[in-house]
Amino acid sequence: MLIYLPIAEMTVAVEEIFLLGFFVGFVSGVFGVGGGFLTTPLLIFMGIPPAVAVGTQASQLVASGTSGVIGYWQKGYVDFYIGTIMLVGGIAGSVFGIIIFQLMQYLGQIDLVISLLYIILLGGVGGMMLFESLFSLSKAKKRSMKSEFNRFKSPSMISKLPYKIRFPRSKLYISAFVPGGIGFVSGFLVSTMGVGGGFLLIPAMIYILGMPAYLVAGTSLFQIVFTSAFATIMHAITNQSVDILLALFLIIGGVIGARFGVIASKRVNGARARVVLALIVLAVCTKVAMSLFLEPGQIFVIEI
Amino acid sequence: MSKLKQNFLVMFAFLVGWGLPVQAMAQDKDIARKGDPLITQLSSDYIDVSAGFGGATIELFGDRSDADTEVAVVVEGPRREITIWKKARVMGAWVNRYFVSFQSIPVYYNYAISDVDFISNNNDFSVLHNVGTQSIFKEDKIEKSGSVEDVSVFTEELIKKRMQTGVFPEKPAKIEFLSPHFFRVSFKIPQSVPTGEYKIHTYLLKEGEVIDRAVQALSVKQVGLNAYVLRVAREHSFLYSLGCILFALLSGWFVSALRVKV
Repeated sequence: MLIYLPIAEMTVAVEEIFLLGFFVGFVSGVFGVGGGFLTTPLLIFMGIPPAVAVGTQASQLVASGTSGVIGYWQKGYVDFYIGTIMLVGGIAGSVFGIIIFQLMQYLGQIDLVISLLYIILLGGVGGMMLFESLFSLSKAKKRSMKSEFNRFKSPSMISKLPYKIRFPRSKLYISAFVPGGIGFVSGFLVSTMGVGGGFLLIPAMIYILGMPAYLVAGTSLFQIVFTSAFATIMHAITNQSVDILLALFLIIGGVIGARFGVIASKRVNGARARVVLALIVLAVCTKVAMSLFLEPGQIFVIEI
Repeated sequence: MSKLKQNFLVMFAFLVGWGLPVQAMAQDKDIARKGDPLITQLSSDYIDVSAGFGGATIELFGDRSDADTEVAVVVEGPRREITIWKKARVMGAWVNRYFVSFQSIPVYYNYAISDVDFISNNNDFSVLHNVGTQSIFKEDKIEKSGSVEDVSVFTEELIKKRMQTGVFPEKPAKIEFLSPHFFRVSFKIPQSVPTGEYKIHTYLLKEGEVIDRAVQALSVKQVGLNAYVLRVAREHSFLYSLGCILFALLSGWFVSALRVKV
């Protein structure tokens, strides 16, 4: 069934959008990641304008984040205090991201910026994840990733930063700049790339902040919901690039895909699944890199 | 007394005002009877882009009083600035490097001519009235990177790309003469048609001189839910974004509610 997207101003096949949402939902169900890092590039490969892909993805993050955070909230696994400090940083980061986005759009280099950011982020995270999961596979110990992370102590430089605040829930006494800074990076990623950056945020919160592992996922989701809601407003106002119809089909596909993903996840080995996820991340990274570094079929690009 | 006079004046003015267009219409009719050199009519003056829009056809009918004339039809969508970038290698990566920006190019363009050699026979006219795809690119209305010397490469590529999208014609549409006087032209509108106000200009030429012209307006607009979404997104973007967020929050909540039950 073909449908005309009012904001993207193009006709797409509903099935394609639905399948894309399903695939990403499945991946996120299996691995417990947001999957935004897959949606945005896949939408762009489908011909959706990058600005619309990023703007719409921000609103989709609100949906997936909400469903996640409610679960953690009910179990009491959200530190609202540190989450709010991260949120302040997240809003600043997303304003900064929107400004960069607009500037690059004006200069005609937004595709380049999005591609470069994806290559750096996906390459780095995918590589690290592959290394870590292969390492834990070879050691063949049934330790979860979270306990692996917890062995690391926060670097000493961070403890010297000013404006220290006590966070009783996370049992931390740390400068507000640290969670604020992590939030800033997350906000920047949401508004420029349409990714929640969970797979960057979660390690950062464990390694750098030293938060208890059980609070990390819920707190980062709490922060992402509000940051991406803010990014949605900014994108809708400045670029008018949030397509609610596109979001609708992505969300429906994602919901169904996630259910299947959760079922599938009960039958897979954690470390092996992470190897697969790392390979998917690296594959998307390679595809983006190829489009940037190989001679393109289309040397000329039109902008209206 | 003065009041009566005033009323009378008003009545008089009303009658005169009423009468004038009637007179004018009568005159128009006379001309039409004598034979307006060119009359055109669109089969429909709007195209509705609905949710399942799969393309459309514009059909123009025309009547010329003199069979020994030439006809040119130009369809133009709203004009916008169009930039075309040429990629080049910078530190290994292919990036947008050189640009040429045309200030005022119709987002949809199509044309029809009564004979193949029309443009070469009527060059000045074609350039002036945008007959032929090349003629819509005006050399004085461009901006470009300093190092770009040959704009024509960019123009060619732009035309090629717009042709692939179906918004520029590969070749002129055919003017079909149903009789020596009565003709019909149809223009294809692709499913990715840009919305806005379109103009269809028809020119009647005799020995290279324009003897009559006609303009028809065509409105290409989104309708139904689409139009509503677009309008709200443009005019009330803050409310629209709140709506998107509310929708996302609700669907997120709905999913988590499902999960608890299952």
